[in-house]
Amino acid sequence: MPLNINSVGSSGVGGSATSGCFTSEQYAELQETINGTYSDVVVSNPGTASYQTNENTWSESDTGLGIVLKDRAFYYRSYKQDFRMIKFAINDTYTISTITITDIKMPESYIQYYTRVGDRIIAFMYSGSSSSPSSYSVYFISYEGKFTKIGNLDSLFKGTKTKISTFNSKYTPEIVVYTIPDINDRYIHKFMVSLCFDDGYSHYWGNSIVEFSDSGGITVIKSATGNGNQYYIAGAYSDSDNKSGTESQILFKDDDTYYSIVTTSVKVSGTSSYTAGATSIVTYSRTWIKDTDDYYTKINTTQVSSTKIWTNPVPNPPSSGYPITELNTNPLLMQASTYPEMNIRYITSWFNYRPSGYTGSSKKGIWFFMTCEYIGGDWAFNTTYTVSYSNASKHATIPRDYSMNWFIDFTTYSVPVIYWVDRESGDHYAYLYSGIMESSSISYELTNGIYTITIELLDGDTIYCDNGLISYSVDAITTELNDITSCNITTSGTYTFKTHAPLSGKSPAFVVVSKSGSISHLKLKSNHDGSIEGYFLKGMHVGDTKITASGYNKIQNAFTANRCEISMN
Amino acid sequence: MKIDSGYSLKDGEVLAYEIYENGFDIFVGMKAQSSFLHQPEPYIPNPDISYEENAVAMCKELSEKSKAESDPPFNITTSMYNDICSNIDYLMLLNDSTEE
Repeated sequence: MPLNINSVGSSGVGGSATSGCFTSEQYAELQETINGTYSDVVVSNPGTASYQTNENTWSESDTGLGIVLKDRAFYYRSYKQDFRMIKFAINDTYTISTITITDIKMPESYIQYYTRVGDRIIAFMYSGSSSSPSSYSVYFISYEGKFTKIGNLDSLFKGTKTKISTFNSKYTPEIVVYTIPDINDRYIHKFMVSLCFDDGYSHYWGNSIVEFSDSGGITVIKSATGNGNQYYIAGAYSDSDNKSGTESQILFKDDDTYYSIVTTSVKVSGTSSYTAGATSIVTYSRTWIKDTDDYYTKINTTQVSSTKIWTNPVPNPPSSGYPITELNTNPLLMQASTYPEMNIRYITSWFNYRPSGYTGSSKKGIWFFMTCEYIGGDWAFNTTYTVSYSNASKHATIPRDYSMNWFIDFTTYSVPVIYWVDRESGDHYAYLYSGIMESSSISYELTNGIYTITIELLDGDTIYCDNGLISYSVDAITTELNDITSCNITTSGTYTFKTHAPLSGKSPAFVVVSKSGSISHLKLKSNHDGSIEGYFLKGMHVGDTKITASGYNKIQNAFTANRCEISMN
Repeated sequence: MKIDSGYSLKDGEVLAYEIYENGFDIFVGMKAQSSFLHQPEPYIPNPDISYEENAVAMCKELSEKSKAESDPPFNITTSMYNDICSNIDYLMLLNDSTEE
């Protein structure tokens, strides 16, 4: 299965991106990056903000502070009620350049909530005013800035409540993305919209869960009203845990049963601030039954069980501060991390502490993200992946709660680039940054002519190295390999391989191919001039070029129509 | 080819549409180079009528919504409210110190 990559600034990611589904080729591309475990990730080169909104009106409660889609189309809600699109490029130092700004006319008066779904935004919009909405609709917004109306919700909400709730973030609208692999291991997105209203005076709410699918149509899953802490979100329900952040979840199918993994942060009931040891990340497994076989068009699901399968205190907490305030899911990352054959690697949730007294200047923030794996019917969790950086620059620090959004760009570089949007309390502007995510878990080391690579591999992977693999170590056990050029992996784990260094002193070429045939690790970089450089094996094809010598190669004019296909043979 | 829908927005801009094989686009202004609404299959609002009838109906709906809108209301945000509170606190503090 080939690996497809894009040229810088090109307009297409391989596959049927416009349908919201990812093809196997795209999957391969994304997996290439995800296969590295971002343990102790360093976000380097945060630099200074590359873009500052010119409206001093950002609110802490603004949801979806800004979203970056493919082609580096960054969208945010303008205070003038426009939707603003910023298109930018990045240069060789991964900083943002050549910004163009376009204000997009909206088909409705307001965007109440929007979130990223693959290469699009899904937005809940309404006409009228927040105190007297007159109609409710859901739209897709493409990275090209075009709206597509996908559903009208008037029949569900019009007249039932008089005001869209804003008094409590628990009750603001939510759109949750469900990603379901189909029989071809492509990914079908489902969307659920959880909408909450109040009567404008009391804390009553109404909430309905609506599902959309890529194939059109609306299915009402559940509708409820209440006035307590009971809270439904896309079928999830909790009244016993005092949640301090947003839930994130993924739905997947194993045989004929659907499971959803729901992750939330939980604090001790009644506490408003962080107490050491009292804040946990909790993951629930929820089992669903499906009422129809035709899950291409709808999935009426009914929750039949909910089990708390994992609870863990938040790692490395600060001595004081506030509970986790960000629990975001990046759908793109979820797709990227979903393996074939129903083995799920679910990477979710950048979140952060807000240290006590944090004012937004020169305070160190901590982010985490978690992996959740469902492989061979067993669950595995890991929260040791810590991302942190500290910068004395005011706006290069971790933002406050509510005011961050981020996107990891897998499409251009082998080094993933992260963009994030930050709003500081006090000045109410938003800022757009870029940085590099550097993984310390895929490490390369050259000592006395022996080259070492440490990499996380999965059962079924095959690692190739034409220089000859001397040995590998996993779980403190070393196995001699006697200079074989490929090794099949039968047990998932973190492996350290040793090989002979090339005479040139450059790195040898390591290529990992997954069980499905996807190229899952390849050290490469695409360049602005249309060339690709990296460490390839003899016999591989990069575009139309056949690699004749293993090791470092630079291939000029590698792209055809902004795409380059890399294959093993 | 763009077709004038006969409807316009509140500011007088004409809403036009263009039918294609798999749906329709809606433009603001006859000279607009790119559409702002893109309605391909399967997102045709009313599958029981033609693409053209759907396009015209959508233009009509947009026109009516636009003309029913008043100017955006002034919505106070949490941050604005906090700022106002802080300013009031500061002014009261100044006032207290002056009185002393």
